[in-house]
Amino acid sequence: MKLGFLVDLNNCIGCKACEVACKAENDVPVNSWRLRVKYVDSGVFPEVKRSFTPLRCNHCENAPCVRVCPVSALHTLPNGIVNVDKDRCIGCAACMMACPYGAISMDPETNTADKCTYCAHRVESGLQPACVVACPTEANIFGDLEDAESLISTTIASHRDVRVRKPEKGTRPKHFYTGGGDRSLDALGAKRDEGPTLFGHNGTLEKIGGK
Amino acid sequence: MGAANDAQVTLDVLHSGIIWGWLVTMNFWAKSISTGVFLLGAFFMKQEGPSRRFYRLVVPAIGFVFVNITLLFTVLDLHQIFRFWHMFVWPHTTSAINLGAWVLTAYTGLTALLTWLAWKKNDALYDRLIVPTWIIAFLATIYTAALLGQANARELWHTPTEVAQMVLAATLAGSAVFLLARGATEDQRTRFAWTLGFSASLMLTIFITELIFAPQKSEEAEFLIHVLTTGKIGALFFSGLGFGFVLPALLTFSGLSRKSPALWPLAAASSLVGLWLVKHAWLLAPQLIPLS
Repeated sequence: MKLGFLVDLNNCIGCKACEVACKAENDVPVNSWRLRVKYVDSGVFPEVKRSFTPLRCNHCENAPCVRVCPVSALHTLPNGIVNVDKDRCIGCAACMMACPYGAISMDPETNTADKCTYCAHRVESGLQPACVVACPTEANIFGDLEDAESLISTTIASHRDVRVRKPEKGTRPKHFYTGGGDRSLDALGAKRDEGPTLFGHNGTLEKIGGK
Repeated sequence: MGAANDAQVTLDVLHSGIIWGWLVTMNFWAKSISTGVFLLGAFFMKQEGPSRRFYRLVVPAIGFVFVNITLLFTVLDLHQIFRFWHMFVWPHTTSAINLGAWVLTAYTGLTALLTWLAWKKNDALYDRLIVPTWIIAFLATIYTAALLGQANARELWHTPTEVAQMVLAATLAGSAVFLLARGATEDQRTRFAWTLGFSASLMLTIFITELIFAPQKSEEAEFLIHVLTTGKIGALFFSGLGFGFVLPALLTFSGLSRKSPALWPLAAASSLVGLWLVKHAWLLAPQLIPLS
């Protein structure tokens, strides 16, 4: 069994239900994310378009985070899920330096690495990951990539534009996208006017309610 | 919004910012001093034959002190500092960090033993341990390049010359410490000045050729070079190049041609300051790239 994800970006409406479901299911701390939806705007008014891209751990077959972890806190399960053992993690953050997808963060409550585990605890019980269940448009397809009859395998086979993020990194991600382009999937494919600290200022609007 | 082809990220989570900060820079810097002093000191000890008692004691002692500073900052940088022992209980041999932990531990033990042997004047065992310790010191110098190479998300750390940078940083820092220390003969100081001058010149050459003249293999690398040279890290980086390499090279070669060694301590101090600045800039820049 080799579990994987396919996100059909044509179906994603950016409602962030997956984000919320993930946080609720995994008790993800405030200001931390295992799954987030990126918005990219393009075009000139009135011809504008907004695309939505859910981003989570890619559960790479050749995972750089697993290779660099000095204590094997990050490890690959037999079903292909890259899991994290928080009791073993020493918080060196080498995994954060290694992951080309920015999918790993430091849990501010436990001071250990935190990431999407494809809801390994739910999968073990035969359930789908929380984000899949919450998605109102079934944009998230989760399943066994080694089973040719599974929905994810048949969907991948029937789409010609299936791609992964940053294939040049040689990580062999098990997280696929269809209906996306460089603007949404390439981290440098769209402008970030405020630089790497975009939305880093958690302030309040001064003019709410008028002058 | 600008042109039709100007896509813009309008919502994303907060960039994680600088994760490896000055504590890690201190690690790199102190390790360069520790292994540099030992690599050069042991080499010159072997080359010169029976050397004075002072050097036999001082070389491993400085190595021991600065490798402990390295280890201190390494542990302090962990988010779970009281779990550092997990490295030895659950070792993961594909991890350069884990291999480095073992190498640094061996180096710490050997330099402690050599210091004690020098103090006790046990020359026979001391001389037998010099070469194995030198090899361990060399491995301790270059393992960081492997560590940075495993940081798959940080393009700039994967340059082919990373190992050469590590070795030259060690020879630069080691020769600088010897030029600042007292007790060396005129001949020894001259050799350390040559070493400092050449290390500084070669490091400057590597940075200039790698960053300015060499074509970059990826969009990420181009982005990071922009951050490092003309972006917010630029002033730090170029200050480091100036203090670390340009000024020391000028001062040492000038002192050598005019036979005025008075300039060498200034060159040495400048190189140590500049090395820290360059290492810090090199550490920060790749962490500023957006990954999502």
